[in-house]
This record gives sequence, structure tokens and C-alpha cells, in this order.
Amino acid sequence: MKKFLIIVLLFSFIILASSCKKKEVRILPSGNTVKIGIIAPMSGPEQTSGENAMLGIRTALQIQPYLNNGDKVELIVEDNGGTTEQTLSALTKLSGQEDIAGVLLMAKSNTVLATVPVADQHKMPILALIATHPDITKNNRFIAQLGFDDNYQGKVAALYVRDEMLFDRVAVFSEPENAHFAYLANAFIQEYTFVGGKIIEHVIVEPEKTELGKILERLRGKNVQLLYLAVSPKMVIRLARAAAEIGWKPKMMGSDGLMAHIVLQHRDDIKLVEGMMATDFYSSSQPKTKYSRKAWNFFKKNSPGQLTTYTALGCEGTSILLHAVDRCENKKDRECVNRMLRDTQKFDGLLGKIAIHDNGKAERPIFLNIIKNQAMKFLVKVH
Amino acid sequence: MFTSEGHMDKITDCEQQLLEKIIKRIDNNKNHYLTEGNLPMPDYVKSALFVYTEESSSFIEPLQQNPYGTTINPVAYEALQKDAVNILHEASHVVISGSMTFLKEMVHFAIEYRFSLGLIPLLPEQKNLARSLSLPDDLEGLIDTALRQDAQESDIIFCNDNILFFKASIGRIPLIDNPVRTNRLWMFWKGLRNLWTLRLLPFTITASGEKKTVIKTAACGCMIVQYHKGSLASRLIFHDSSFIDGMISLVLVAPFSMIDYFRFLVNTLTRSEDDTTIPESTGYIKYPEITIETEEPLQVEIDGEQTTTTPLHCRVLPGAIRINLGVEVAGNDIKAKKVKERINIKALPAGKELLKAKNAKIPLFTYASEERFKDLFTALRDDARIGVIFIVLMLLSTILATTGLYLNSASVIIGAMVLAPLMAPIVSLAMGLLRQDEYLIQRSIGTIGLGIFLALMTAAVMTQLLSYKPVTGEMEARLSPTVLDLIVAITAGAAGAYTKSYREILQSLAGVAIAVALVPPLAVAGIGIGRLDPEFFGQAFLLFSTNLVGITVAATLTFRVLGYSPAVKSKRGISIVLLLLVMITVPLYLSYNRIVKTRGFEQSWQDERFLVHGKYLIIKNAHLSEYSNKDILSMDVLARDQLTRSDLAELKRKISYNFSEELVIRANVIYIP
Repeated sequence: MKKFLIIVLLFSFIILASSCKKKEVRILPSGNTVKIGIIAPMSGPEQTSGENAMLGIRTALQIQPYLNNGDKVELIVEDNGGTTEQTLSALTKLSGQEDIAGVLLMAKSNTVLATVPVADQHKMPILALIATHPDITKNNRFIAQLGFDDNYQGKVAALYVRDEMLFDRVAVFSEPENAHFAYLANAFIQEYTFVGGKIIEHVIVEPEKTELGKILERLRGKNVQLLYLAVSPKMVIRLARAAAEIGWKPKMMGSDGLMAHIVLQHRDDIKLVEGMMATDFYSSSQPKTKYSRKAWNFFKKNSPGQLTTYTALGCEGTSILLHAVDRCENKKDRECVNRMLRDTQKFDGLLGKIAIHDNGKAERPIFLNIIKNQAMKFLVKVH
Repeated sequence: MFTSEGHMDKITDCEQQLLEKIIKRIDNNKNHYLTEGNLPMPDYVKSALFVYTEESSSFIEPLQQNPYGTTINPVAYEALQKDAVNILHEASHVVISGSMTFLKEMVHFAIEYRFSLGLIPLLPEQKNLARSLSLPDDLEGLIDTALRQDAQESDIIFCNDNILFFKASIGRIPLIDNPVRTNRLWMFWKGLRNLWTLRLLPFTITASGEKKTVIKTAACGCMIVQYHKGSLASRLIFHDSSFIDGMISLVLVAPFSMIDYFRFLVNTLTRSEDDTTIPESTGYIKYPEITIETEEPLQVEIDGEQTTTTPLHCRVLPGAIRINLGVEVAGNDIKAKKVKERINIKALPAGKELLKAKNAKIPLFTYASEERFKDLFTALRDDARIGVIFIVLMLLSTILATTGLYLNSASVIIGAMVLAPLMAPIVSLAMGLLRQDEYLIQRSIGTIGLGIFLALMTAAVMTQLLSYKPVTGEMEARLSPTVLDLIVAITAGAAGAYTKSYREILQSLAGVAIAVALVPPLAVAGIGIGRLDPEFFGQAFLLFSTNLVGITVAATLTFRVLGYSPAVKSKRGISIVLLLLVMITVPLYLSYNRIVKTRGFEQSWQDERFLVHGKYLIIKNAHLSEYSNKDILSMDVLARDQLTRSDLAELKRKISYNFSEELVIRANVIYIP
């Protein structure tokens, strides 16, 4: 009996020992510091989004507080108030500081497009976190996009509606002032008609001016199956309200950041958009990678509040930039950092692999989500 | 009342009451007697002595005032002791009331002077005595019974020269010592509380009568039952017992295990009065003379009092006294006839089983000697042998299984399972391991080994002969053993052992159950040998080994629970099997883990889409399998556009990029109009 017990104990020990995880190697601080610049809206109407993104950025630093050589990472945050002028000013200021290796830019496409002409001038590697206009990476060498661009987004939306939902009668809404929405709407229309779908009407809405009720009545009369909304979150809410007023509940699809915005700033109106779909960078109900599990633990510890797309983008963007800086011998060599940034391959992001190519474009999956029971639920993931 | 001249005077209130009582009594008795076998109303003795002690002196007056016209002559016990001869020599009927010791002394006198006895027990102290003799519980009733002129002849039992009135008990006799009318739940609970402390004590019982028999056994306790109405013990033997049968009824209780004890409790509490079988865990001896000896002297309680110790020698004096008993007892036992001597000790430990019962606590599971289950052991020994029938059936079932696997036909494979003869040697092996029976173990292993060899070779040869070498779904199902397969095997093993123990269950049912776990994986392993594919063989053989170990372990444990453990247990057998079980669980758990991850991975593919050169691709029915060390991802790809070679290459690149570079992709393209 004794021998038997000894054998069983030995056996169990072997099994346990073999299942032990390897310990992670600790990095010893070198005493040096590398700075990363952050340009985000810390005031103004986009303040909530900016703070949300900062949460993600800080989480990334908790996951990796030091570079591989032990250099400590320090953030230099500049408030752009959500305006183009402040963004340009902040960029100029940060570019003037020699020890800043790179900049994370949280600004909309309109604003980022304005920085394109001056990006090469400053020779500052910039990672645009939320801007998706395709022209952001055109004609410059220093701006890379973390998100997918509107070409891809519009295409995916159109193909999903046509080939998966099998709808062939769609109306499109867009805002003329906004380059991102305008481009997105056109990309959708182009792809949708290419694959045999019919655009019943392309409605260009002006904030506060358009009589949405009448438009929607008209579209209902034309048996429109889905409304594609390349419009701001505020306009989406207005449309949803107008549709509810006329007793119509059409299928609706929006674009990136819509759900994050509604959750953060229009929480009270979330019932109006029940059933709405949207393309996005992330989906909360997806299985987590190793990286995202780490991030998630820090998120929960530090802030039990709302975690949105902005948080996720902030976290990923920081990690990718640090990954690029890590691969340079001279951590403050901006050319090197920029090169490495545009050579990001198979980076394990929060929900899948991310690559940033030489042209500054990111290759990453698009998620299609739906609002169900006042929460964002995952539909499909398109590679 | 009527005067001596025959005139009727006006009756007083007291007389009125007495008259009403008399009328009521007559009515009650009339109805009672007419109901109980149409017996006539009793007569009452004309006169009787009343021997009393200090405790019973209060009965003098009610007795003297009895409404039956009986003349009562009260005599104090002290006075009787001084002049018993003169007082008792002409007594025909004596009413007695006092302590147990006093009552027994009077019984001695009754034997000597041949007078009949009427008994008025002191209540509530002597309620057990009253209950045993079915005496009423009110004074008027007791007086009525005591003064009747229908004394019954009754045996008297002497145990170590002590008179035994209604019972004697040695050791612990759970439950059966209690009156029938006690709350059953309470009795059950009381019985359960004894569970952890019951011990089997060795007893040597010598029964002398027409022949002499010596019985060596063990029991928790034993009980001699004389006047039996009212106790649970009586329910066990009342059909066979009487107080004028000239016999001593001895009941022994010997649960082998806690499980046996539990069954005994339930059985005793729920058995009907019509049930004449001796319950499990109980022995019954009926002889005119019984001697009970124990290794250590044990206290003997006679009629509720600690009177003597073992060895206990009991003898019966048939018809020694005449005593007035309660109507119930009297009514039935008048018809009792002389019964034969009887010994029923099948349920008691004997032989090697006594080695276990050496003043030890009863174990959780029952054990048994071979003699007790002789038929079963003989059958198992036969099953362990290799025979022509076994070989032929093994070959046929393997051929059928292999064909079924190739055809991917579940029904053909099931047909093979029906034929397979593997259950018998495996169940024999299980019993051999439990009882450390070398012969059984060796024979069973040999038979099983031959069966395995035949199956593997047959399947291998068939594979060589068939040029077509598919990997069908039925084969694949046997290439990824997991913990769930072990559960199948354990259930099949338990079923096999269980059905073997109960003949009434159709044996083939369990045989099929076991064959489910064994023949198809063996055939697949044989196919692997035929294809010279070690991985194919290895996975299937792992499944087979898992099942074999699982069945053996389960069957061994099932036999243990059913009570086939040897009296002298060897732990080695079970230890070996449990060790094998532990060892085999590890790779199975890892395999199960892998399968869970694979299923999760496949499930996630339901929501994957690909945009390839502007074409939208929907993925359905993704399935991950392993073959020759490669992961193969098979899927349906739904598309509305024609896919070119370059599109497929791009799809493959995206899959490799996002998932794994080592994935081999097999896409079935379905075009959606």
C-alpha cells in the first residue's frame, strides 16, 4: 500500500510539474526614459472619448511600463479640444521636443487630414487611432492608421447587407461636411451597386435642417429594407427618434465608433437604437487573446466603468507604438520608429492580429456588432 | 335489586351504575368473543387466591368487588412464603401482581402446585409484559382477564435457571426489540444511529433436541422470543411460533455491512404480516434446548432486566403452567400445533466470513465467501476459459465491425457489438482482481489477450485485402479518446457486473454495452496496423485500453458494492486497477481538453468572414481534425462570386496569417445565387 501511494504521489508530481507555466522574465529599469506624445481631446465636446482613450493608453503602460532595454516610458499629453487648430499646435509642440519618440493622435478624420501636409515636415511618427479616411496615409510618410480605412469599411458593410442579409433595397444617409462620412457613404454605394444591390435613395442630411420624418415616410413607402447611416451619432439618434415617431422600425447600420459614442454620450437614448448594427474595430463579446486578458484584468482593476472602442484603440495603439520603439536600437530615432511602425507584422492585438504595412495602412479584421438588450453584441468578424 | 324472596326493591344509584357496568361488560365480551372465532362467553372462576406484594396491595379491593361473582382470598406474599404448602395445595387459580422477581417466583409455585395463573401487571412499569401477553391496559380489563376460567397451557423457558417470561436478549439487536406500534420513523432513526457502532460478535450455539447441532457464527446480537405479540421480532417469526410449541425461538441479527444493515432496517419496518420469509441478515433457530456461548462473557437481559451472562443455557418446559392470556393471544394460540425443530442460518456469517467478524465494526460493503456465491464463481471460471465459441464469435464480430467501419455504417457496427463475446472474460477478470483469485486473473487475461490479438489481426488482414483506404466518420470517432469515453466504459463495466450478479437480467444487454466500448476501437486499431500507420493504431488502441481499464475498474467496484468482496480482503487487486485508472485518466483528460478547445475553435468559425479581392466569403461548418501530425481545417465556403485560384490563395493566406500557418485547409465552395 505504501509503495502504491508513493507511485501515485510521484506520478501526480510529474503531471503537476509539467503543467507549471514558465515564469515571465523581469525587466530591470535602465534609469533612462523614453517619451510618447499623446494628442487627445481632454476638453470640449469630445472630452469623454479622450478620457476613455487615455484609460486604454494607461492600461497599455501597466502591461508594459518599460521597454525591453529597461527604459521607462513617459507620456506627454496635449489637449486638442477636438479641434484641428489645437491639434496642429500640439503636434508642433511635441515635435519640437527631441526625446519624444512618437505620437498617438486621437482625432477625427477631418482633423487628421489637416495634419497630413505638415506630418513629413516634423518627421514625427504618428499613429492615428480613430481616423479612417483613406487619404490620411496618402502623400506622407509619417502618418499610420491604427484603424481600417473607409474603403474597406464601406465595402464590408455593403457586402454584408447584400450577400449575408440578402437585402437589395437600401437607402444611404450621409453628412456632406464630414469627409469621413462622405467617403464612407460613397464606398458603400459603389460596392453595393457593384454587387447588384439597389440604392433607393442617397439622402444628404444637414444637421438641424432636414425633416427626417418626411424622408423616412417616403423611404418606407418605397419598401427600403435597410438604412445605411454614414452620419454622426447625434444624427443617428435623430433618425431613430424620427422613425419611432412614424412607427417604423427599419434595419439600420452605422459605422465605426457609433456604438462607443452612443454608450458614452447618449446612454439614455440607447433604447431607440435597439437592433442597430454597426461596423467597428472591436466587439466586447469576442474571445480574448493573451494580450487582451492582461488588459482586461487591468481595466477591471482600475476602472469598472464603460470600456469602449476608444479604450481598446488607446491600449492597442500604445502597445504597437512601444513595439516599434522597442525594435529600434536608438529609442529616440524617429526615422527608425516610423519604419518599424510601418513594418508591424502579426501583432497580437486585443481581438486578433494586426499588421501595419509600409503604406501606413492597417490590416485588421472588422467586427459587425448589433445592439441587443441595450448592449453591444457580436455578429460577424470579417478578415 | 332482587330480594331473596324474589321481589324487586328500588335500586340505588350505586347499584344502577354497577348494573350498567355489568351489562356493558357482557355486551363487550359477547361481541368480542363472537368476533374472535365464535368462541362462547367465558366463565369466571368461582374463587381465586390473590397473592400480592406491597406494590399491588391496592388491587385487593377492586378484585374483591369484581362483578363476576368470584370469591377473592387475598394473601400477602410474605405470608405465602411462610406457609406456601398450606396456602397453595388446594388452590386452583391464583391471581398475582407484583415485581418481575415476584412473578417468576409464583411461576415456580404454579409449576409445583399446578394452579392456573391470572396476572395483573403493574402499569406502566410492566407495560412490556402486558403487551407481550396481550393483556388489557385498564384495571377492569385486567381483572376480567385474570378471573376468567380459560387459562392457557404455556411453555416456560428456563435460561441459566432464570424464568424467561417473554424475551431474552444478548448483544445489540437493532430494531426488532421494539414494539410494533412504535413510530416507525423514530425506530428507523434510532436504528440508523447504531450504524457506526455495530459489531459482529462470535457466537457458538448448540441446539439440542432430536439431534444436536453446533453452529459457529457471528451476530450483532440474538433474542429469544417467547410471548411475542407486540415486538418487531414477532413479525419475523410469528407465523412459525407459539408459546405452547415446546420450542425456544432464537432470532439472530447479523448484517454483514452497513449497506446490509440499512436494507435490514427498511425490510423489517416495511414487511407485511403475510410475509413468512426470514429476512436478510437474520438467522432463526427453533429447538427445545439451546446453549449460547461467546468468546467474552456478555450480559444477558431477561425480560428487560440484566440477569445473567453468557454462556446461556436455555431449556423449555412444555406446558409447564396454565395462565390467563389476552384474548388476541388466547384466540390464536389455542390452535397452535407442535412444530418441528428448525435452523435457518443461511444469512449468517460462516466459514471464512467469520475471520472478518472478530469483534470488528461492520464494514461499508458486504463481503462473502466463495461457498455463498458458488454458482456465480463457477460461472465466472467457465467464462474465463478460452473456447471455440469465443474464438469464432470474436472473429465474426471483428469482420463485421471492420466492414461496418469501412461502410461508415453504424448499424453494421452495432451488429458486430451484439456478437462480441468480450464481456465474460472481462467480468471474470474484475472478480478475480477483487478476490485476488490468481486462477481467474490469469485465465481471464489470457482470454482477453487472445481476443485482442484475433481482433487486431483480423482487421489488419482485411485492411490489407481492401485496396480502398478511407478514413470514415465512424473510424474518426474512435481516434480521439477522451474522458467521456472513459465514462462510457465505466458505465458499461458497472452494467456488466450488475447483470452478471442477477440472472433475471438479460445478459446480452450488458454484453452489447460493453462491446460498444471495445470491438470497434479494436477494429480501428487493427486497421491502423494494416495501414502501417502507428498514429492511427495508437489513438484507437488508447481508446480501447481506456475502455478496458474503465470496464474492469467499474466491474470490480460494482462487485464490491454488491457484496462479493472476500472475507479476508486483499487491497492489492483494487489498488492495481485504480492505479491504471489514474494513469489512463491523464492522457484522456489532455485529449478532452484538446477536444474542448477544438470545438470552441470550430464554433468560432461560424462567425468568420473573409473579404478576398473584393469578394465576400461566408464560412460554415468548419471542422478541425488531425491526420499524420497535421491539423486539417475543413469548411464550407459560401460565395456569390466565382472564386479564382488567386482568390483561394489569398483566402489561405488570410487564414494562415490570422490563425495558424500549419493549418491544412480544405474548402468546399458553395455558390449562393
